[in-house]
Amino acid sequence: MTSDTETAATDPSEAYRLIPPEPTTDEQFSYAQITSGCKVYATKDDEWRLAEVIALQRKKGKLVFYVHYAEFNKRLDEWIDETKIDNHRPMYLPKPQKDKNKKQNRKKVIKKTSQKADTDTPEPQRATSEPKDDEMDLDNLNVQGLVKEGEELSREDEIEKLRTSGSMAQTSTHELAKIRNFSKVIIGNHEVEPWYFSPYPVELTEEDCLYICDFSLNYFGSRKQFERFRSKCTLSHPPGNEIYRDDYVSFFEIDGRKQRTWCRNVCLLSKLFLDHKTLYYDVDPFLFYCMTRRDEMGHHLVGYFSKEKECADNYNVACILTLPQYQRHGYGKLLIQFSYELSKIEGKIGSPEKPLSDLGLLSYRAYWAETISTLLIENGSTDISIDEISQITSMTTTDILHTLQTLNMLRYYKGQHIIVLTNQIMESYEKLQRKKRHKLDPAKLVWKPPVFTASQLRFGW
Amino acid sequence: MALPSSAGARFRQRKISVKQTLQVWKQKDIPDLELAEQQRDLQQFETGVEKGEEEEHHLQKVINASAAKIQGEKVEQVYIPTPDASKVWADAHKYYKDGFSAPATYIKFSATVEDVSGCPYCMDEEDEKFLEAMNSKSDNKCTEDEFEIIAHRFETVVNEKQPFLTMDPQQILSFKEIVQIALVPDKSDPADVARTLETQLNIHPFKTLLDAKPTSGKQPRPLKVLFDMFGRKIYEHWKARRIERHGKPVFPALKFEDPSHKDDNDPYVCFRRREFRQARKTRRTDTQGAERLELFYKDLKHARNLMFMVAEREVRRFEQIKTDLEIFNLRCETKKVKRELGVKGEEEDLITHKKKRPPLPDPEMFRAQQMSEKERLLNKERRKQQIEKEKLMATQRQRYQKGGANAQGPLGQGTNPVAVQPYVKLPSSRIPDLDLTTVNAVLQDKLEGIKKAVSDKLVKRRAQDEGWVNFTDDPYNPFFSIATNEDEALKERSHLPYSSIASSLYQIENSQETKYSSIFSGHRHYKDEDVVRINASDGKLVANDRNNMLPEFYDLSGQDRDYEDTGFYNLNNENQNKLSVSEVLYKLRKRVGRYGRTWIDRKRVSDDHGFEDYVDESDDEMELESDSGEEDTKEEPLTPPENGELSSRKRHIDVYDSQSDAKRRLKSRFMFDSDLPSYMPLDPSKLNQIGTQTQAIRFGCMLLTKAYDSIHHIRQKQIEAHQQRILQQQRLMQQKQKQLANGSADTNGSGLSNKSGSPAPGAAAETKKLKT
Repeated sequence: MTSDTETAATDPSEAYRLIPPEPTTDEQFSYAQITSGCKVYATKDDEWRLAEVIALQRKKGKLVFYVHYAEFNKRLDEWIDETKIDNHRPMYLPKPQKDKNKKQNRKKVIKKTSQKADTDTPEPQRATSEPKDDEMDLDNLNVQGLVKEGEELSREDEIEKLRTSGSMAQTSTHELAKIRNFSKVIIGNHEVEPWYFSPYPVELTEEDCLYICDFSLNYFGSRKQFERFRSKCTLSHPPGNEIYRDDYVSFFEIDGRKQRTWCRNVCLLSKLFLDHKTLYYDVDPFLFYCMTRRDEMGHHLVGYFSKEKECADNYNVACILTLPQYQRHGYGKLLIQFSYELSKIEGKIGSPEKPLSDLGLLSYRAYWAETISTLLIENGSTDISIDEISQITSMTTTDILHTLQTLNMLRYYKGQHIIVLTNQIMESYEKLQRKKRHKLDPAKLVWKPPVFTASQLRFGW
Repeated sequence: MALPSSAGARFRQRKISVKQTLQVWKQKDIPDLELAEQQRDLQQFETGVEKGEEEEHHLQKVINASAAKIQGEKVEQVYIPTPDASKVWADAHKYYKDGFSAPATYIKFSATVEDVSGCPYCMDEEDEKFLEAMNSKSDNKCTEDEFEIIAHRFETVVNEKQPFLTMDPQQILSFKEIVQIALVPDKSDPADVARTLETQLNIHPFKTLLDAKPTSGKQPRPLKVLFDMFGRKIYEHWKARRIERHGKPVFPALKFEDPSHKDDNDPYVCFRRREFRQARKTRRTDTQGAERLELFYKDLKHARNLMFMVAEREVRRFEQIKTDLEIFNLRCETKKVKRELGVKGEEEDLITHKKKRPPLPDPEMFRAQQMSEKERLLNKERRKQQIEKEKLMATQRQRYQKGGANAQGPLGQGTNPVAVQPYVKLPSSRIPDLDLTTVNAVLQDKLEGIKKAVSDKLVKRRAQDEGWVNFTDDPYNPFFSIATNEDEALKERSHLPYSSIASSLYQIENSQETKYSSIFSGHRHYKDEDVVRINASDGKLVANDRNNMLPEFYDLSGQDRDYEDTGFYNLNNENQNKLSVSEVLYKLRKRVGRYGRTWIDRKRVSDDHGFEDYVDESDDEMELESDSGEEDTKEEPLTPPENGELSSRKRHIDVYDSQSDAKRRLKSRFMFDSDLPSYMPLDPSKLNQIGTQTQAIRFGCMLLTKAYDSIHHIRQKQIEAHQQRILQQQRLMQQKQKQLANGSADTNGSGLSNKSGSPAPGAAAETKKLKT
């Protein structure tokens, strides 16, 4: 079904390359021969990995290569010099580009799959009863909104979708956008290494370091400028209304239309750490919920999530990010919990917009697992339907079923489905109770779902 | 994607209903549950991560680890590695200051980043170097704030005036040009708003909580001064930088979409505007757009004005608070003095008591303000009228309550000062908590309303009559004729010299309705001396004694002795000199006699002959000859008048001892009146069998129609005159054209003009002939 994917890793014909071959005694190629698109073996964390050269530059007379390691996330892409590349192992040249053929191929694939869908789907329907609305196929739990293979949108369609839906996800196609363009960012008193490309003004990429004001999130390449700005700026918290406060964190609600500068800044900043985020269109259709920690300087942004003012697909989160300097402290779970608390007040069920990042997936899975197991255990093992769980937690039934299956809780026992609280679940629940992690108190959330008029929801000019 | 992996999967129901209630078991309670059975499905469903990334090494490691954990295996915690973010920047404390304290309530905030970060231009190291060099040369130091203000102004002016400077940076405006524009206030600049407020509200400097404090501790000097002092030098520096940047702003900005040149591929272009799919552009949409813009502009303007007004109010409030404080302090001192003197007083005196707030303006007004100018004006006028009316009503009501107290008394309801409850249609779900009113009260209100209307009209009438004197002091009282419908003989009513209008004053003054007299008491527009009275019987001047005049009283019940024979006072008994209130009715006729002489015939209205049988007819008829005293016996079957008779018959002229009148009254009484009259028949309204109010309304209506008629008449005449004028003009034009045509014809043959001119003299000759 798939012979068209571009990544080497998934290409079965190239799968064998992932295991580095033994080095030969002779040099197989000279460094000057390396061009972008070549795949070489480079050392990373004391092991040899297949790496694709994305770009090369001459720095102080020396060649440096920007490489993407196979099977590693893009955030680990880096500039390396030739000492890290083994020319005693083979180099694979890029396949000649056949753009025209490719496009045609893709069209064919789309046709094929659609035909397939037409012919395929009725079969299982014959075997089983007509699927009802509330019935879900456990073998085909499709994650809502995820692009399936062979159904990739053309660039035009994708942009059209962005324009109309206000979606925040987009796969960047441009070569430049594949290369991280900043090496160091200073936010507040943290020095952070960016992960991905972000479209800050291109002139600033020449600077060693990007200074970002912790409150206004304005960015400067020059330290003097940053100093001047800081001396004038009186902002000490995100420029919106505080809707939640406990002694640990606060949440601010910010309207993208009213706080265009700030929201743009937040997007630019988060783009540094989110791969599948697009800044193609403006921030107007989104509300930004910002989590802050308070000290005597003000409210420092810890993380945020954006949410469409009106979402046709019932997503309750568009983009979600805990800033790297605050990661692995449980803030992500608080952000996720908050997004579901908002959905509860709205009386809707929701799910994050796809695709999720690897870290996002893990955070969500952890939250879902914890929420569902806590609910079931504290419910005292009384019978419950998936729908009821969904009503209580504001999670979609798909997400719930997913979680139950990954946790191996949904079983088939004596001719019917049951939910099993496994020993492992009970264990981790007790562990969680002992840990006493901070949790948000829904009573402290002072919020009414903002209402927008039709004209306020038209974001054109 | 988890495809049905084997036929074995079909053994189990693979579908699950979300509505189906599921049993929840603890694992330890069902030991017979197969564990192995589930294994094959694990890890086979979609994660929501993009396909390419799903396979990533670290993610798989974590997923596998957690899966193993679920199986009960002991695994180490696995993390996905991320770039370093743990370093702490030691210099941060230089740029972030303490001093934030969280308010007790949740923060509410709507200022934008621009609002709170002062001058948008932030100087960098290069500017700093230049500034230091510049300042070292002179004693007049330019602060960093000031430098930024100047540079920012340069930037905004050039950005606005030269948006395409990048095409040729050398074209950049000269210092002179920039200064010229720069000193004109830039309305979009928030700093300018502050400046405007400063001048409008007279607050120097105008600062809000959000405004950045001047970093050098000194307030920057005004822009003009700065331009004079440092402008040129800074301009050169700034210009060099801007040209170096190829005309782009000195500091890099985000790259937005260039609408003329769409580039989907530049990854640095961000935050594009979403475009509407424009429906077809038509004239209608264009005008709609224009209208919307206009409205929007008005709204904005309105908002701006409102803001200014709010600012002004706050300033006033601030002043008030200051004065209050001053007063309080002074009072405190007085208190001290008082204590020393041993005067005891209330502590309350220290506080200035707040005056009651005036009621908020009508929301109607507010709405009206939002309407378009035109409507607003209209509404205002309407409102004004309403207010005036209300005022008038209010005064009237007061007057009524004073003067009408006794008149209303007998009705027993009393005048209810509660405002008339309007008839409000409420939704059926809501029971009105208004007090229910009785029908009587409603009727009373209605009556009062009518009375008000009448009195209003009378007041108006009086206002109209201001400065006019009504000499018809003793007007005809339409008492006699109204009851008698048999006046067939009175053929030409238009000849009646009297009208009921003339009697109005009399009526009012003699009315039993005290409220009317109260209105008019002291409001007569003439003095008694102004009125000349002539005794109708002898033609002599009568001493003007108002009190001598008596209204007629008619006792139909006949109880009074004096009334016994006729039902009238015998006025003759009392005073011959008493003025007659009314006179015998005469029929007048105007006619043209021989040789163009006009005649006015006077004839006494003849009596009903049938009734004469009952009462002796002894009245005479007379005719008064107007000009020549000639009589016309042929046309009028009357006895010719004898000059001497006039004086001898004065007795008959006097209404009150006129037998015929008495007879007629008797007759009318016989015909129309009941034996027990319930009213004093003095009032025309009562005679007409209608209410006084109705009478007054009719009377008022008549006045109005008369006025309208006359206006209409005049207007008609004006129109006619205008039309004639136009016609004349047209005729003139035509003549002129003709003459012109003739003139042109003359150049060819001159005989024509003679021909056209010739008939006139001919005609004149003819008339002459005729005369002779």
